[in-house]
Amino acid sequence: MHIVVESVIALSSNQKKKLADLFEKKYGSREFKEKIEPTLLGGIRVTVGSTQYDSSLFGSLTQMRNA
Amino acid sequence: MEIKLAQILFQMINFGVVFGAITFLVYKPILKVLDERARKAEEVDRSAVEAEQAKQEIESLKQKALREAEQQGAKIMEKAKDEAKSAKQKLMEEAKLEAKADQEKAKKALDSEKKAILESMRSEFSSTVFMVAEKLVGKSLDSKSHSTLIDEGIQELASSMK
Repeated sequence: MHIVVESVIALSSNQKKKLADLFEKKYGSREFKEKIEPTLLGGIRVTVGSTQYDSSLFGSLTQMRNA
Repeated sequence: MEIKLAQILFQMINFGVVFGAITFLVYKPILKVLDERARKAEEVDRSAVEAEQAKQEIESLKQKALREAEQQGAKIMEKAKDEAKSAKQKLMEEAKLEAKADQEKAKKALDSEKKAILESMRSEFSSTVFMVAEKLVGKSLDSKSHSTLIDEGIQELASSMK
């Protein structure tokens, strides 16, 4: 299972641990790739295979624009 | 003076003969002619009366035909007027309906245009707000804020993964 976590700044160790616990519970794997993406403006975006979970500011602004 | 009986008798017979001759040869033919004339005159009078009656009858028929023609003419005129009035009304109603339909069409087109303009404005406004927000957020967040946002994102992720 290929998991990518994008954020504006690097994740803290606590944040990494929380994410790893989450992925292990859901997908049975603690491993994921970190990526710095300034265009997100804030928050995180997680891509699991073909599914994306967007909790970024950019995603929220885009939703507001399209609403 | 001597009265000569023979002469008187002769005169009387003579008179009788002449009278008879005149009666048969003159009086009766003259009477006949006069009767004939009177009869002819009567016939002429009768013909005149009949002609006068015929003339009056013709005149009466003429007047009757004239009246009927006038009445027919008046009826035709009335009918033509009614038809013209009806046609005019129909045309006016059709024109009104057409005008109303045109109005509706124009209103719909206007509404549609308005909607399109509002949509375009909204889209432009949204894009502008988005661009401004993008720039503002990019400049105003510090590390602590980013970290908080990441924590919130993780919480949201946890909720959506349940």
